Amino acid sequence: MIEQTPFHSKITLASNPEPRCPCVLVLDTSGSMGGEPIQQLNDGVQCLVDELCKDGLASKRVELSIITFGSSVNLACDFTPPTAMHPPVFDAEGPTPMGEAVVRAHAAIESRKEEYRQAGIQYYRPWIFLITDGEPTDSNSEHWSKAIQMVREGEAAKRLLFFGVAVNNANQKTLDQLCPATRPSVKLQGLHFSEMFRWLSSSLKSVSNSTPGAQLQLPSPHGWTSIDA
Amino acid sequence: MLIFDETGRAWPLGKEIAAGGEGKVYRLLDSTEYCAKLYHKLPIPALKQDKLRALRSLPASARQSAAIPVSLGFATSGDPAPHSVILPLVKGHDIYELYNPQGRQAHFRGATFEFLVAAAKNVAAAFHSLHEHGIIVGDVNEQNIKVRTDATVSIIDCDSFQFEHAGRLYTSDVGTPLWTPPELQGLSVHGLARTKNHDAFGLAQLVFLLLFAGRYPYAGRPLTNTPLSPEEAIQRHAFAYATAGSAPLLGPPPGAPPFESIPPKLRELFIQAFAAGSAGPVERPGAGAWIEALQDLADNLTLCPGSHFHVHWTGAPSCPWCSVMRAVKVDLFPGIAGRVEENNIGTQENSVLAKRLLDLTLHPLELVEPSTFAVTSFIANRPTQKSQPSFRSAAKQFLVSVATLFTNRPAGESQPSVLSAAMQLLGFSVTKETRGNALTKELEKLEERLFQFSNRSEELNLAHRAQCSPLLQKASDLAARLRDIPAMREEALKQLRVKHMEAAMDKFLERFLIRRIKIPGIGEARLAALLSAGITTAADVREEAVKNVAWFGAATAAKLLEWRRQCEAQFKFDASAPLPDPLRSRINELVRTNLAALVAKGKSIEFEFNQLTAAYSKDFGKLQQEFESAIKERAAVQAELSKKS
Ligand SMILES: Nc1ncnc2c1ncn2[C@@H]1O[C@H](COP(=O)(O)OP(=O)(O)O)[C@@H](O)[C@H]1O
Repeated sequence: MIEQTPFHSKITLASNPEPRCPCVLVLDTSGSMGGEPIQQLNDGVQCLVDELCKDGLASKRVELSIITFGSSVNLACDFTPPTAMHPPVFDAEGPTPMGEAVVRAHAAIESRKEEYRQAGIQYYRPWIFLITDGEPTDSNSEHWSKAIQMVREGEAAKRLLFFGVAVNNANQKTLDQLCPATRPSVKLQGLHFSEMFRWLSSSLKSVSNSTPGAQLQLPSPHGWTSIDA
Repeated sequence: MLIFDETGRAWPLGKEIAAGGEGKVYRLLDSTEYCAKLYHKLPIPALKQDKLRALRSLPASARQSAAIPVSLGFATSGDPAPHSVILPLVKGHDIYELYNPQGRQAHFRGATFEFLVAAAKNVAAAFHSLHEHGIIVGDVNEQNIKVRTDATVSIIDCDSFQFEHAGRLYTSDVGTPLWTPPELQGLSVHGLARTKNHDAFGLAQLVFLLLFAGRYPYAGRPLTNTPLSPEEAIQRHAFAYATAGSAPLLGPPPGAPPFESIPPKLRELFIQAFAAGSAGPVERPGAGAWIEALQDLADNLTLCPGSHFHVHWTGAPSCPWCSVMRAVKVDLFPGIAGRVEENNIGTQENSVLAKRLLDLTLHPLELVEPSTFAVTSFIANRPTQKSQPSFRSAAKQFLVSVATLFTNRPAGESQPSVLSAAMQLLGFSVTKETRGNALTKELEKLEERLFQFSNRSEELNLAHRAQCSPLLQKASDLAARLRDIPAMREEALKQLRVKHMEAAMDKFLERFLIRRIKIPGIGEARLAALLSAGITTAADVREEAVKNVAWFGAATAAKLLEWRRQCEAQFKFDASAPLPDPLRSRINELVRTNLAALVAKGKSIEFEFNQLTAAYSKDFGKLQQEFESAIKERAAVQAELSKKS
């Protein structure tokens, strides 16, 4: 009998040997994101996927995964090429287990990297892109300290790129405990999620296109960050 | 928008083709042969302007292999400084769409290894011609080479070429890490004088990617515990397919065609390009060497008996594409097989429904505060004819009271009487205030009520959203699955084809009876052990099974497995032949039942959503009516109030 297979398994590592750039979106879907913010976030993620699909090379290299944190930490989408991705619609509810979500993202990256190695596929420095409008409700747990440690070590060894984005009244001070000192969190201007994700898309594209010897040059995030951060 | 060429001719700009780091490339409306690149950064720096002018002077023979500008472009005719260049429009696709199996399926469907070899040779020829003119490409990468449908290529982004003109060296200044030779890794390329040998690295990598169906020379299974970034792997000469003496860092990745599937000469060239010279840069094979070796390969290709699309070198130990298929269950050259008419089952229907499902959206309503309505109603409630009499009557009353005072009081008391008249007037306004108080209260109450409306509308919206979002989620999931139907079908077909091949292979291997064949190293005793373990034919010789035979060492097991491989190599399978009917109809059945179920579900979701939306609109309409009448009431009270003040 023929078993059915989920769609993205079709695009196996074997039929696309391009080097990969794995990117985990760690998204705050706690109650406070309800209403306009969560809707904008949904649209923004779709916009990211659309932008990546338009680029023949990026759509073969970038793999997206989505982890949400709200009433629980949830792997909303495992690593998938943009062309096969149908981002789920997020609902906002519950607390903000940010630390646990970051630990989970880290684990997801590690296991994906192992799959790349097994398949003989090269990969670029993985990204974690965290978006929150609050502060962690698990900052007293071991998750939080573990998350901080993982980000710190990963960044120091250049094995990870961590971005923290603060929305509305997010506690940036706490968020900055997590962010690397060289790349503190940025504040999203209003709810400009689409602009932000468009920026993320072109940044991911530029990962493999930078000129040697020059620092990794990301496009300016001017269009979506707030200066009064 | 118009751009002007050097002769002053105006060209209307057409659609944007693509945007690069330095500029945007547009079509020209009047031409199918040329396009224009408009630079982002204006004015173009003086050095770059000089370089663009110098590019114009490159010989015509160099133009065959590269999209070298034919004219500078200007914003207005007579402008001294250019803002663009006009260059030949290159049709075709970026080269990565050819070597990457997915890209190939999408853009070069049906292209075989023969096509890839031809393209590789054309790439080498393009480099050869540029190098002959002393031009260095510099920024060799997968996005700067386009391949046409006849396998000819053209190099674009010529403004990053390095060349000499009028005694001056114009450097490339850009590069791409994944395409940078070991000796330049990590160095700044700005102002760096590149050599042909640097280009030769990128050229070798392009040839490798084409011959190994998208595999990178430096991507492999790690043999050490130190992870290598793509750039580190280049820097450390970690060629995954062979080494030049030193301990290997990487082994060939699973699912890559074996290194032995190309002729020894080409293998040698690759080793020279990628593995050799860990001590320092050595000469890599030049374009000429590649052309010769690739021509030789092109002359010695054969077709795998198993598939019309599996073209390979005549000297390959076995068909490399079949062995990839066995290893990772992916056919890198499926050709146009599997694209039969059944492929269209339901595609029309499902894509229309999928689109409708994706188009389902919430349209949250808002209470429309009829601001225009409020103004007009206010005016209507306060007609000038009405207010005029009231003012007039106030004035009249004043005059009358003054008159009566004058007539009823003795002379000399005029002062106080005017005063009392004023008092009366004041009294008049006092009574007005008490009436106003009641109105203000009423207004407050109304405001309160109106405030409640926004809560009520929000509640309605939230409830509607809560009802619909699981439904919308289902709709988008379903749309995705509907759109995946062709992919699902193709996937099922592929799996079935692989299974079909495996079954045929097993049948074939069953013909090799162990006891009839003399296998070196397998004596009577070992043979008996094998037979008693149930291993009687080549089909039974599997790694697990052989290892489990008591007292068999690794060496014996290896010998057996090698024997099986030899048997396998004799296997001929016609993968292009249509699948047997029963298998095909099974797939069609699978697709049809899946499709029917999805369509039914999709339609019911659509129906439910429309019902919910209709009910919501009705509720909202009622609320809007209530809201409007409350606003009207408020306007009336406001009018009344302002009338009194
Ligand atoms: N001559 C051309 N014909 C067709 N498409 C072109 C041509 N030149 C450039 N393009 C398209 O425009 C994109 C950007 O051009 P490129 O010259 O590489 O810009 P940049 O140097 O700014 O990166 C290319 O990737 C290609 O798709």
